[in-house]
Amino acid sequence: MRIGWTGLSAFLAAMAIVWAATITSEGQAPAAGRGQAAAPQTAAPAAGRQAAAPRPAGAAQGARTEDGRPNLNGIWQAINTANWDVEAHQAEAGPHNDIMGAWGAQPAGMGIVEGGAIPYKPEALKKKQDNFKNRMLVKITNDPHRFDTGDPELECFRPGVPRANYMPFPFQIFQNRDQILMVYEYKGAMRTIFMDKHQDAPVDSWMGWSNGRWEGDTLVVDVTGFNGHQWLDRAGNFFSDTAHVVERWTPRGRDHMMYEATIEDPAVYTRPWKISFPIYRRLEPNAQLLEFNCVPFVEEMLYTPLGLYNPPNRSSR
Amino acid sequence: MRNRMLWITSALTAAMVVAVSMAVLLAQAPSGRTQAPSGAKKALPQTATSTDAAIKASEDAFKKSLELKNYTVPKKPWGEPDLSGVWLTATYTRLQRPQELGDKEFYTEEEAIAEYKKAAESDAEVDPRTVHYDWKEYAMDAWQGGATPNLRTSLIVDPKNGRLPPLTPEAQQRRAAAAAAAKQLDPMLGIKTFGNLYTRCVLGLGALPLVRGGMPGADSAAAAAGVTAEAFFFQSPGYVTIVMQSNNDVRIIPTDNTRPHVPSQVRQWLGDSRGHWEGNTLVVESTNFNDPKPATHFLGATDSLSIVERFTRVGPNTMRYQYTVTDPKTWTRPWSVDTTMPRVDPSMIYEFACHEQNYGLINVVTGTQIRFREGVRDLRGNGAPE
Amino acid sequence: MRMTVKIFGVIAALGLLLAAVPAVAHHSFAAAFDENHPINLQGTVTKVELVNPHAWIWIDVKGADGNVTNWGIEGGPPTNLLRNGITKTSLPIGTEIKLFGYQAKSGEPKGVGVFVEYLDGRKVFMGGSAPGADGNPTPAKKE
Repeated sequence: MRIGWTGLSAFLAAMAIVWAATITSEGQAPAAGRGQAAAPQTAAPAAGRQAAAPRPAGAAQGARTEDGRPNLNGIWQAINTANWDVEAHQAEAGPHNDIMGAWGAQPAGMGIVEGGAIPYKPEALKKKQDNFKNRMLVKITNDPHRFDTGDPELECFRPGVPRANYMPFPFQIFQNRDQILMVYEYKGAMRTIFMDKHQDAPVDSWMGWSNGRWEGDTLVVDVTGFNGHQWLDRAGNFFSDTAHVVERWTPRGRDHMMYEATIEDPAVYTRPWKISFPIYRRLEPNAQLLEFNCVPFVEEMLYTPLGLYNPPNRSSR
Repeated sequence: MRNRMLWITSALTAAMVVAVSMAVLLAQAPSGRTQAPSGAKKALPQTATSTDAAIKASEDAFKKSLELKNYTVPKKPWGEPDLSGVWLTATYTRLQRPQELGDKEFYTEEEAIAEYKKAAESDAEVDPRTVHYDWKEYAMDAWQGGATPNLRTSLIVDPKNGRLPPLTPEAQQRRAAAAAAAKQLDPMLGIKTFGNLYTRCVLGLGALPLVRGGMPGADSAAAAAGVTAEAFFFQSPGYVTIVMQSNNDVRIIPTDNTRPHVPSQVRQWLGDSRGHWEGNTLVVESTNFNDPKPATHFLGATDSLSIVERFTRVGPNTMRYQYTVTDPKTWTRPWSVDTTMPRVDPSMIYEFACHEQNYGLINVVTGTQIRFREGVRDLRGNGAPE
Repeated sequence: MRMTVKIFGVIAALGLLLAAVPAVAHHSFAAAFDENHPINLQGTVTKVELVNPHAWIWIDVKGADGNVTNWGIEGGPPTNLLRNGITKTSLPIGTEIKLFGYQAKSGEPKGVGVFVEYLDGRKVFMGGSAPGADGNPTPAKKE
């Protein structure tokens, strides 16, 4: 019986193509014919209004927004090794050091955990140790068991909060009065912080559900609604879907912020605990988030064992 | 394409409960600020309205938008026209004008409404033989999302015949080579040849350009089913950031017109965007597209693609969206689109962790490999490989 | 390895050996599921993943032999449902639901849910009931 595959869209056509096109290099990026304007463009303000000129991005920002809040707009990045291990750690040879050498080695770090150690419940500490042992054990399945082992970062999954804030990638804050948008260069992962009309998380997610408010000059963000698949670092530290993270973002001068987060999860920890570290503004005049779309970088790793990337009895093609 | 056939129990479909009447929300004029979600959990809307009522509401909003004159767009505190909010990218309007319409650039108001009604009703039908969840149950039909009628007979406005310009000889060769390669396709190659960029969760549907309408030859109802066809515009000093609902693709667009594009060696899936204001219109130029093989960019475009978009708010709930596509390796001349996007409420976007949750890719590729072993050579149903 | 599934409710006499089965544009969805293996299932919800790109509902289905199989049923993206007020608690664990759909081509206990309903016929995700929606799939109309 013949299966008719009627009505395929151009999407499917593109999908079935083995692309053999040659690439010709582009040369200079086209300027698209436009002049190099020196001054920022601004729309003419409505008559009778004292509208402020738009602020250029980057270091020249005013310290406060129109509504008097600290101006967090811009590109920021943490400088620490917490993504390897939020607790203090020494330098170590990395996984597959026979290939990766110094590229893959773990640097040392003082840790970002106030008080030094994460207060795990005994069974949770065992799980953390299992996580560490299996942090590169990737077993992708078509059900929730795919999250049982393996560091989510390794698999190009979203890092969650607070980990996204100490990934070794910049992130950008876009600030309005009633919402703040944070976009992380790693995966273009994003989260919106609702400053107005808070609601409980209607759905669980990787980056959580963020309700924010100002306490003086500190942005306080209450994050819940985690799906429980997140890790805090490559060392297997974790929490569950009952985690509650409270972040405090406090500007310190124009180009620095102090970041603190209190993490509580009665299913995992014996008490709430805190991390803290500084965050630095990226000051390059041409600072920009670029793409880090890691999905194509992990497909071979994820799907080869299932025979879906390069199946076992591959033809000569 | 979804070929929906009229069903003997059309009462089932025509009177299928619509849990959404987004069209009602279209009639509301929002303030200049974005709307955060309400604190209370809404009860499931028990609007026992038929498709007809939702369609009527869309038509009313459409007629109202045609009467709108001298609209003054609200401004952000720093002076820019306010483009913020969530805008629907789904439309029943085809990208290319159907051949039979010839040079007819515009419908009358009555014709536009009739076309829309036809498309929406076709969209609302469900055929249980379709191996797919019922779109309507997930409020994914474009008429549920607030798609509106359109006076234009096509999205393309230039060339004047409303159709794509001819392909370059180089592009014709590429297509022929691809078609031949598809017939030779080794079914066991797996993910990168089967999975299009969306199935692999590399990119979502339609971040750039935003509105793609129907494909040539597709019926308009099929074209409109933009899966999660929403674009969230977040406007802050110096930037407009677009977060797509589909795959949460992010486009960060600097609007201060002070910097050149990234260096030519830096190529990106969504290119590199630079914006500047011309009056009330945000003009965005995007270059530096990567070579996405084995996939292609929009309609077969290459890394020589460049796109200029123009965003203008023309009503409380309407964003005019124009774009010009240039790819000297694909089309013999640039071509342009002029269309509108209706507003979606509330003004927020949800997480779309596509790759994380991509059970579907495994099922799709496994299923396809099985079918190939059963003797279906490729997805177009030609015979088994020799 | 094809699972044998005890069919609850009306077995669809769908006559699915069609030359022209509609295929789906937005991704090669139809490849994953088998148009020749429709399923009518009834079971108890064990997990609801209200996620993009596809919601997944996991249900325990009791077979004729009394063994329970956990089935995974794929649905649509939940985004517009969330906009309309559906939340992660709208379909509680333990709810009995029934569905009509198609089984995965691989033969696993997974499928796509075409119509997903409470036992009284109300759609799980659309709230109200549709006239004529008695939960039974309708026989195919031969064209």
